[in-house]
Amino acid sequence: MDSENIILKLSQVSRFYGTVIGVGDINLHLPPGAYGLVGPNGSGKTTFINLITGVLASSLGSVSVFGKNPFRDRDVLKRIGLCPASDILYPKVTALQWVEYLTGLHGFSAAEARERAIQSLIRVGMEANMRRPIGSYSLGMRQRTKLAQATAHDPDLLILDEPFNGLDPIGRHELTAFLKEWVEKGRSLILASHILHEVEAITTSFLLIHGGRLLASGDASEVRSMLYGFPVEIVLGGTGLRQLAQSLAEEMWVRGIDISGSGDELRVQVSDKTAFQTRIIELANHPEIHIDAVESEEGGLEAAFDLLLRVHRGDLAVQ
Amino acid sequence: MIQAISHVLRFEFQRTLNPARVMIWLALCLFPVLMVGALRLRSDSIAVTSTIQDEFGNETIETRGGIPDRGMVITSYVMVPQIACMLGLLVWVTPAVGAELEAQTWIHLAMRPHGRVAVAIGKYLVAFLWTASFAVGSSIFIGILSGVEDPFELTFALAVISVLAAMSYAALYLLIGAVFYKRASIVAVIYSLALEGLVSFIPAAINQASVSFRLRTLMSNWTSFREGWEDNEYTALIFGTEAPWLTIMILIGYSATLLATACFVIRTREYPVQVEA
Repeated sequence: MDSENIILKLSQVSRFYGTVIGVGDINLHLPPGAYGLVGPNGSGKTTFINLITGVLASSLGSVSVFGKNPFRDRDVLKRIGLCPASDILYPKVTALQWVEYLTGLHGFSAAEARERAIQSLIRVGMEANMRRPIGSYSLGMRQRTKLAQATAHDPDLLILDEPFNGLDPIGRHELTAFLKEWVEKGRSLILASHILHEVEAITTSFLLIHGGRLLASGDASEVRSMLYGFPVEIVLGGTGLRQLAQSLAEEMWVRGIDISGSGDELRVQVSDKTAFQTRIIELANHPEIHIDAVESEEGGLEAAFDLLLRVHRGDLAVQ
Repeated sequence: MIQAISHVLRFEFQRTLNPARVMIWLALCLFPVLMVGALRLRSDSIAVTSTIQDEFGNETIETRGGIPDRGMVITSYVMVPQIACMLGLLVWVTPAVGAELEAQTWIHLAMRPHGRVAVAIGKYLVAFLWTASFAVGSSIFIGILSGVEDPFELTFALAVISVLAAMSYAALYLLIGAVFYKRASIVAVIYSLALEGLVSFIPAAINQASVSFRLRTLMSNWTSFREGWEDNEYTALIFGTEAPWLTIMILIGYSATLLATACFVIRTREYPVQVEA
């Protein structure tokens, strides 16, 4: 990959907080594009963002954004816009004053900073309220204001940390539309969230982070291909499932069976899905077995991520 | 960088113009004036004025008792550059970093190319101007009210010393705020009491590390409150012997060094900005 076409390069990056690992041994090369940084709460997403925005330095390894170390060479921050998860706590300042101030810190003149701040606030739908104190805003308005300060200087890379937190459905829809438009313009985006479907609505490329480690990166199909060889859980519904479970228990490719107390739901972990499909068709002909529903966790990306997390935790092992 | 600092100055001054901060400014400006005014009233009430006639029959009016000029000068010096300036700067510049961290706004500043240093210098300048302005105002009113023989001398000395005090203490407290951002005000108060209060009066070379010692040297040079006092090795150690220009240069150098150190700390330190969402 041409080094000039890489917006983000992390080589064996670790960040420690005393004896706690914030992120550990991350290797990553990202070309321009939109990426979802997905992981559960406390997985290291914010530490990852702090590292690539130069707020924190890595304890080990090297971080490079647009070819420069953001902690040492702070000029590169002109090309990055950050919308952090934390709230704005300047209650007496207006959105216009605040966005103008932060835009000015990029080195713009007073007139240009003001013009950019106004345009940016209009872009996020804050035209009518930009001269009111931030303390009087709803959470959605504060999120929009944060978005305005992150984009007013026209960055090449926009980073958002849990931007959907606390937004109502309309606010979520508007933010999603804004970010889709941002991506369609060919700009880069890193969107951190612990809710996968919010990210899926904007991009198909993911960085899955958990326990401070980058578990997977790539688009949905690449993530699924990583799971080849790991057991897949299949859920069956119907009647006569106890008999079905007994028949399946003899198969070598069955890794685990769990039947509900009422006997109407059977969970089977299989390592060979093709063999399972062949066998289940045979068993379905049995007069006492009626299968009403078959669900595979492979069906959704969320299930694939869930599987990856279980592999990472050691709950599942490759065949 | 200069553009960025000018934006910090503008933003911080906008924040200054609220009723609470204007009230603090007024209180810090008028508090020393009221103290000196009260002293003047007391002085007038205990003074005894008598008419003396010499052998040729000429009459002169003589006032005895009351508080001598020396008392007024020392009180003014303690009230304006020492107490009011220090209090003003404790309120303003010590929490420069801590307040941004507490308001969760530090990350926005740290994300700007010159954000950290611009904020440090900008907040220093705002604190300096805010403090120096009320201190100069105080000095003028005190000159008018004190009733000393040479009010211009007192006003000039107080005003210049207050400006130098604001310059030096602002840099000192900014550095304390950058290093001890969690308990900055407490550390600054302890430091002020210990070093600027106690150590600065120890008749030994260590007192030269304090700003108070330098300010006292200037006060000693520019006013007549030590007239009639015997000079010896102890008074030299307590009031200094350096010329005013050298003392001013030392204070400027001291402030520049502290300010540069504070900027370095703020630029390179990894402050705890936010927890994992």
